[in-house]
Amino acid sequence: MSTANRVVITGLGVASPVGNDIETFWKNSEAGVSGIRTIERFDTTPFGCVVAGQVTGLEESPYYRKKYKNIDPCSAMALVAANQALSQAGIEMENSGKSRFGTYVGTGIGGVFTHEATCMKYFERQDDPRISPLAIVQVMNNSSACEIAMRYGFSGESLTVSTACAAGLQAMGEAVWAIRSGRSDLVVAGGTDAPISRPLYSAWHCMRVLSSWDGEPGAASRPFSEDRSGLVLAEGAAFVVLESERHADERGAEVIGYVDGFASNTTHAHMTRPSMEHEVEVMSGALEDAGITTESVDFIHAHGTGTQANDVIETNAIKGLFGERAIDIPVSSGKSMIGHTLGASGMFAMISSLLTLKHGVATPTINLENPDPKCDLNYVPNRSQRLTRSRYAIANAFGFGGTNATAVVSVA
Amino acid sequence: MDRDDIKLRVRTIIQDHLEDEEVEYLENSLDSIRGLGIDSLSFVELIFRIEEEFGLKSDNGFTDEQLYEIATTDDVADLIIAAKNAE
Repeated sequence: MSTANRVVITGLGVASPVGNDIETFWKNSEAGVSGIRTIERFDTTPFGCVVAGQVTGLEESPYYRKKYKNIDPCSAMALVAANQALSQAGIEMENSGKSRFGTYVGTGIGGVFTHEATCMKYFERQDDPRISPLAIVQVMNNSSACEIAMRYGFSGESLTVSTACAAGLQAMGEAVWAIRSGRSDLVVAGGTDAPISRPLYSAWHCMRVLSSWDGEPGAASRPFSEDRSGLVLAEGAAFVVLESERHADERGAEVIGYVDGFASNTTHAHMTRPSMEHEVEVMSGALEDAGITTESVDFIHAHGTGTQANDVIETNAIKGLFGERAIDIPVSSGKSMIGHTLGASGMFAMISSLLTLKHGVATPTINLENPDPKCDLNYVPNRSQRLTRSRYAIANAFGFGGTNATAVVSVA
Repeated sequence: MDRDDIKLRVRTIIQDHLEDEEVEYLENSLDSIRGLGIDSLSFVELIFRIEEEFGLKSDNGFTDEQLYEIATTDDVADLIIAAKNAE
């Protein structure tokens, strides 16, 4: 890879259960603040799970526009996060075509909120079964990418990746390839999902993976814990601006960090069961792509869902790849604080990893008072830890359907 | 139905449909629906919201031909009054 096409990061943005700007997100992540709250949007009685990571105060964000209330929350959060990232990168909203600027978005379930609301309205109004003319463009998975590209006049490649919980990170990885290959100069890339809805909760509940926690909501998400309670769903969006180093240099953009490596593969054996073999392979592939070895990794942001299947297999995969060094590397799960944002989760992991390296502080895995004996790494339990070195970090995202993705990042 | 009341309610929908700065910029011309500068998709969404507000349904909502003729809130009021009188 030529240096000119090295991929730099020039903007970050989030809409999250612990804050709708990077500064608040980092402050709360570093302090171990939980964004998990009791669900009040619908009656959760039938589902056992009463909590979720919920985005609040989005309308108060300076990056929110009034028109966003007329689009799916998945796209509204994506816009708020992308607006932040692009603002930090110094990219203005304008309608002039930017033919080498792209928009890459990952989403697990897209506009499912609008889809459900539309169906409910349709069946409730049999005498006048009309629904909003915007329903189709809100429901389609590429709605978020389109909303962003339209507002900024990006006429380069627009790609929507839908690979469940790996979607956002995989979209970012595809953006890396687009920049490296010279097809794009700049890409806004990220993940978004808004899964806090009644029908979806029913389906997750019947899958028997949702958290059964009935205590204080902030303690519900318990990755790597022996008394884990299951998956805590969450909503959110996390975006970055990527560009070639040459492009950033030419326009004088401030470089925050680098995407040094990326890899993706597929666990082909089962729709939902993770595979240690393929997790080792994808992490190894990302390190190889970055041109580094395991010796240079100083932080791992785990997929860390808080389910039995994930926690143990991911732990074993890290041990399998990093060997004896595994115990020395802080491994954290931000899902303990914000829950599982599905297609956005890998991008939250990536941004957290970057901020961890920048500040030299590993964010904690909270609610880890009783570690699972099968999970015996340093998960940064309950309190953040100062890193001894801040060279490279890796972020993992493993999705239903078998898609695995890992990114390697470093700071400028 | 009272024409002024209809126009007031339509204007409220238009104001809600636009960004605050657009409302401020267009303050004296909000009655000119064709002058709002909204695209065709936004226009049909606006019309849909107006139909919902006044309880117009598939059988008495605006026809495609009528949509082409709408230029102002007065035009909308004419159509709503005619639809309600026909009920």
